[in-house]
Amino acid sequence: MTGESVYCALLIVYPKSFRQQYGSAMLQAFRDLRRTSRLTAFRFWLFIVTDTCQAAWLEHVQGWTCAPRLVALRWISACVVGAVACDVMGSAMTWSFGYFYHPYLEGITFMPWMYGALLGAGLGAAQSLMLDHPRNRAAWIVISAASAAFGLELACTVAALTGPVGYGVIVGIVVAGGQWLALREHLGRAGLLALASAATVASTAVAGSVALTRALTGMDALKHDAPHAHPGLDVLLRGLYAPMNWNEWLLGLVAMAMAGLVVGAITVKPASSLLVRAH
Amino acid sequence: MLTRAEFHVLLALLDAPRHGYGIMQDVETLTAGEVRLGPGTLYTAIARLVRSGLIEECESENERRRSYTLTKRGKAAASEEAKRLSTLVRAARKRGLLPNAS
Repeated sequence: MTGESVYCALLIVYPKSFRQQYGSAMLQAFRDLRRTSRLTAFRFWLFIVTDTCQAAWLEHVQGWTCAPRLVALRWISACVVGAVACDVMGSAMTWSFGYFYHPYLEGITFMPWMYGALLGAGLGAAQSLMLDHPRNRAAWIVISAASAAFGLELACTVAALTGPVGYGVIVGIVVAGGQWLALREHLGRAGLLALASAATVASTAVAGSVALTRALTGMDALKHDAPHAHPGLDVLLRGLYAPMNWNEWLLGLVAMAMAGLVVGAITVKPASSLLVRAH
Repeated sequence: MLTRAEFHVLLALLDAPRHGYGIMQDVETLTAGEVRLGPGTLYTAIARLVRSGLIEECESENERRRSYTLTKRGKAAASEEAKRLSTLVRAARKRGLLPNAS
């Protein structure tokens, strides 16, 4: 193995785009340097390897701090914030109803679609911050809210048959379908985006709607029962919808942050064409 | 603010366009062998300078080599950085960290 081929192999540690642009020039500089260097072989290679590691690391960091990777990070953050915000909203409503309860409120009715609209608007608003055009933003929020409202109503209707997972999946599919319809011309690989949105909205819907159900227990506020937890989901759902103490509330927040993270990571690729243009 | 490697590259390109290895040699000469840029440090600095419009690629006599030249913005940035360093040196001198120039 010649020195040149070793150096060529070392170049793999640089980001691909950088390697494609400067790889051959770097190899030429390496040849010149090797030809004229007065260092011993050991010190020369120590210098080259150190230089390569430092420079490649900096180039990777640089890549993460500017578009499009920065755009990707922002998108993932938006999804996490959106999912966590939904959970916080659910908890806030639970607390508010408990705190401000008054007999006059007896019999008040919140239809599932109202709550779905709130969830969809929350998540959609966080995600929409990444879109450039005001019209796209508005469309994204409206579609997310409208489809979550419809999805939650539909899911509640069939909740007894589907259980919590199926319930979430129905909401998710409806919302994802709505989002895809709104911006399908701008999105690549819309199927993946829809799948990921389904996962997030499913978890936010389960978390939020059951929190509201619990808050309104005894008031007959929801016309349909939210899904009852399957024994196998107790640990997760307890943290999400029925926190009895701060630890369980924290568990719910972490679970929602994870859902947002997964959704952001899966959707960043299909959404990137839209997002990069925006920035 | 420019990094040390970026400032050295701008200094090396002040009087004439150079290719990568030419810049490495010039930096070593200018610093009396104290600073040696490896190919990695050199080309990551070049990439950043090209991205920020401080240098640009130009035609080279040797087709296999890519040469770079300073832009107007690059010259201004180098001058700004030199002033900043000069102010720092004056401050260091005032505090007795360096002997007086006279």
